[in-house]
Amino acid sequence: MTDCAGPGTGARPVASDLPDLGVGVGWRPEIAGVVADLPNLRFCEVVAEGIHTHVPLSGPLATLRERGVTLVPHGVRLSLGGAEPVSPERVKHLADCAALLGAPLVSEHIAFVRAGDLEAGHLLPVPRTRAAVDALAANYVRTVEGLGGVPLALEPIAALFDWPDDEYDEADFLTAVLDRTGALLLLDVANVYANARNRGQDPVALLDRLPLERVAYVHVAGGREHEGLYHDTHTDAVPQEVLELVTALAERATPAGWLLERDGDYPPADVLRAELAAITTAVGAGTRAAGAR
Amino acid sequence: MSDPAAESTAPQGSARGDDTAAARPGADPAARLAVAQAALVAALVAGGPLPDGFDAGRVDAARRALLRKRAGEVARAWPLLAGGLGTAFTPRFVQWAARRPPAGSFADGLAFAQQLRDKGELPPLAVEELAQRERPAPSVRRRIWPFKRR
Amino acid sequence: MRVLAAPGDTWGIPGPTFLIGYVVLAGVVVWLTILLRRGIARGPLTDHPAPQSDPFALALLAGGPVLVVNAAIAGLRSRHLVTAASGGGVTTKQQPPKNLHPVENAVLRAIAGGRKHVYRLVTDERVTRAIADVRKGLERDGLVLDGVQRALHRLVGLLPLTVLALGAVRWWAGVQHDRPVGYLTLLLIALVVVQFVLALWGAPDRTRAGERTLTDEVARHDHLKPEYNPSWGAYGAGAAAMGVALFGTAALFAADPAFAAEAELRRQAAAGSASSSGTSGSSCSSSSSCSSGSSCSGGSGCGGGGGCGG
Repeated sequence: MTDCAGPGTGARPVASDLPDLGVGVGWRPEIAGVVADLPNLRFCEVVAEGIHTHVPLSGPLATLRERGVTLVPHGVRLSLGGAEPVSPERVKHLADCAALLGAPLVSEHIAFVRAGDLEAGHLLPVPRTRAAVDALAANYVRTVEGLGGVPLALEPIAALFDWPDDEYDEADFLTAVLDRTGALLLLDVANVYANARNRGQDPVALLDRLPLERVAYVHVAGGREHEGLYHDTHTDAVPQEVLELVTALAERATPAGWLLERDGDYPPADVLRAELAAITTAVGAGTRAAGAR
Repeated sequence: MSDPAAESTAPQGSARGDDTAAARPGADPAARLAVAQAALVAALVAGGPLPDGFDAGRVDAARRALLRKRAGEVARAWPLLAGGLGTAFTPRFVQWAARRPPAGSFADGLAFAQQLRDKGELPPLAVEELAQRERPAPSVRRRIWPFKRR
Repeated sequence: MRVLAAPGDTWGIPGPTFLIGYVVLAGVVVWLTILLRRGIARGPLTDHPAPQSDPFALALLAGGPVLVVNAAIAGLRSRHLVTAASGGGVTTKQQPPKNLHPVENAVLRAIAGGRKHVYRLVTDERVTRAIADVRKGLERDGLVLDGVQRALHRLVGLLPLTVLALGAVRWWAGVQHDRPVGYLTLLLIALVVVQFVLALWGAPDRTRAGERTLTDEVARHDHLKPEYNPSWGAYGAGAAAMGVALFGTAALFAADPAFAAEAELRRQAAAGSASSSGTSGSSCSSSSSCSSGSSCSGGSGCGGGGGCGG
């Protein structure tokens, strides 16, 4: 049986099938002008729920697309981790976004946002149980069918709290989910750092337990300490420790792209560029170290 | 300890009406997951009871974080309401919204503003904003021109 | 119909002939007047007007002195130099720092110590002087009509007076000789109305180069559109003034609505932004925060739960 129909129809998507995306930034309308002026930008991520799919692409996103910048829709409201099946309308919207942007992949979260007719309004962690893996797998299949061939990468979220009946720890749970679904991984190194730091663990050790060969692309974000805990705020500069983790990851895997996520309190354009440059340097250091081995 | 949220979303198959979802060993794990998730969301946004086994402190921290985030979104959707209340906006909104599940930033802001108005506490800055948004969209204006200009 | 010159015809030209000739003459002259005035109003020929980087020049071009003052207020606000005064208007406690634009400087000095509404700032002497300087710059660049061109525009508009005069003389002569002047009277009245309209119809402020500059700059600064909620911190100090200049006070309302409302600024879109696409429906198309349902705005904290500040 030859199965050359591509990812999503039974074949596992492979991270190496993706184009080389380099270092990119999360697209936000508040800084659309800054993003448009970034030199060598090849890659942007756009929140899917903000895209109107019933009209042709216009404005800054259209310009980016014309320039050949890869645009990846990032869903936040699909609720893949919910026991309830994903809504076909939301899956269709995600598929339409991918078509509109010409995206090589889409991404969503290992989380749930609604249950029992109530919206949580935020990404909530799923219990690390076999039942949750099953639910995720079922929703993954439904989504991938609706996406019609576009690969789906899953992003684990930072733990707000733990469920009482967890059967796996985080790394094993993630591995189980990815093994079951065959999905690609969107790894947020800021999350890894936050979790490790808040539990007093070594972030690199945490990193080593994850299935890094499945990383499609990477989120990098800033945070700050508050009342003894490190918060992955997305509104602060990327700390040096997170950059070191970027280097460590680059030594161990070859993701297609690295994305700076900034959600507010935007710095001046040159500061943003400097952050992107710092990430590029960190990635380079890691790649060189890997090559030297 | 009965969990009302669990009762209402119990799947039809298991009509045993036990006290807690975990006590039904024969229940479908997917159904149990659904019930558990519903209970958690209810505890976080609708003032429901904390489900068993969760760390009360961390869940409460999460609940408050969700409320603050929701306040921020409503402030963006209703800038004059937020501006009019100034620093008092977030605490007052959080207090009002604590047991009300989110309905979207526009609807939340509308209900909050209306409630303030009913109590006579709506700041003058926000009065016009509310009046404008309560008004139904004008449909009469372009009747003579049959085609939409945009 | 052949008309023979009857004895006693005014000037020896029969009435109907004169009327027809007169209508044609009047039509030609009015048409010529309009054509000439349009040519004057268009201004100097420029294929590619130079980019205008001065937000206050663009504000004057787009909306006049009031918009310039609003742009200045936005610029000052973005530098935290002014605050809204209770009861409307703006107030300041600061001395003007060194590198302000002359208009901003003038506005800040005009506010100094007290609280001033926009309409009072517009009439302040220092501010009017600063705006006049900006206007001179626009005239130099050929983006607005200068005094000479406007005078010429007015003068040319009076061209039909010559035809009116001819008609009036004919009318008077006809009355003198007891000739019927009914139609001629009607024609003259019509011509008077036309002349009236032309006299009142002033020259547009912007030349064609000015219009083109405005459209170009609006397109170049599309990212400052209020719908995108542009971050002044990211774009720098000039962005606030530029946003208001190109998109009206709506830009300030979007960025700092409490300030704008308390200072009792009038909310409006600028004339220049009429050419950009309409709002409402498509405004979310590139926005990451469509407020449908409880969508996550830009993903803040979405990927990292602990990031909500504990």
